Amino acid sequence: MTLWITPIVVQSVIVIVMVWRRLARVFPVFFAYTALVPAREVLLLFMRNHREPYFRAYWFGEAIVVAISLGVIYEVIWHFVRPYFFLRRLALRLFWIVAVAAVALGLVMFTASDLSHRPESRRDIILLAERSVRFLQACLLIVLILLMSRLALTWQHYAVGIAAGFGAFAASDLALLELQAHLHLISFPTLVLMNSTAYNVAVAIWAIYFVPPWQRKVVVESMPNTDIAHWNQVLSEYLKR
Amino acid sequence: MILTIIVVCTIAVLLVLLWQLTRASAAGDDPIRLWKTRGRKVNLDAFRLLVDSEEEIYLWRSVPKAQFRQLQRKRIALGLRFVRTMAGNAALLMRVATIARQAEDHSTVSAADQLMYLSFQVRINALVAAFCLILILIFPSWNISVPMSLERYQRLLEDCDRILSRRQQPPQNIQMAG
Repeated sequence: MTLWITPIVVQSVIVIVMVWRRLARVFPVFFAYTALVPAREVLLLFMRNHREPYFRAYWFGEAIVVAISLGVIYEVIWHFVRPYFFLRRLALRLFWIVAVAAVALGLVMFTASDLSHRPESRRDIILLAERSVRFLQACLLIVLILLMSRLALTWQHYAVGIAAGFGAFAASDLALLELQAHLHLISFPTLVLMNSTAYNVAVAIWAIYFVPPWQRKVVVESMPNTDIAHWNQVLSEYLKR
Repeated sequence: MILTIIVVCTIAVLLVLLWQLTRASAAGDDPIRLWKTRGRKVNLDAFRLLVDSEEEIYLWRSVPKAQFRQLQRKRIALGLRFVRTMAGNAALLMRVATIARQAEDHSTVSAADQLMYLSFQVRINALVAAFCLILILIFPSWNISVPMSLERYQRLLEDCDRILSRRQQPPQNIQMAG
């Protein structure tokens, strides 16, 4: 229960903070993600007694959430390269190349898994598909971080938080899905429990970066010349009256 | 099994990169101060000699083969250190340019853009040069020339000096009213 309710509360707080600090316009896809996940959870709460609609709503919502989370990575890359005209084409092209390669590898991973002897094959198909998508997400995050660090671009505070949260969750979810859906070393209830814990960690990382008041450090090296000249001129004119 | 290894490697690389990312972003020192204290000078003439093919041929002819191989390894290792220092300087200058772009003065902003572009070119150039040097180190018999544009690097340093001197200009002497 705690693992379920904590991210709903914390993400709602992040949504409020983002609106308050006008960050929703800076990171609209991340904002949509942060707002959508708690909304979906509340919706699922009302559907919990209807097994089949709950199942459909959960996995359909999961597909949308995963698609938006891929959009968040694209948004962070775009946020970085937007000021640098010479980097835009290179970075976005690299993003799509890695995405296509990771999708191909993800499909190989999906088709290579044997599902014929499984009792709950529908759930397993979904889990294996999710593993492929998490693999794609992890690859895109690796490219994003490598690109930024190799080119020595300056990471902004909020972008670090978004990447760190998604990275931590993608890594742990990929590991859990591999252990459950492919290697069968853990049970499904253990997967659900540990997945919730990993998501709580990700939400905590986003909260650490978004909720506390944060001011960019500005180093003042010299006095702004033009302002002093302007004030002086205005004062001089005032004194001459 | 291969797929599991790929997944494990992906997770490990991602976690290491995330760890480095959060550590690097926590150490947010002023890049201008860092450039003044940590920006290391590179002897460009020495680097030119290290990657010069004629110099290599001269050594090949002058010393015994075993000694040549030893010397060549030392030269390449030194060349790699030079390239890494230049790449590090370019990285620091990219951060300086990022800060300089926030200036209100239009000419400083356009100079910062130019500095950023040059730093980026030097950084990419250094990556390629380092790759070539490593190839030479592994395959000494291959005839590979190191594509490091030192003129670009020199221009980069000049641009940086210009921006820093602009930032540090003392306020104009104004006779204060009142």
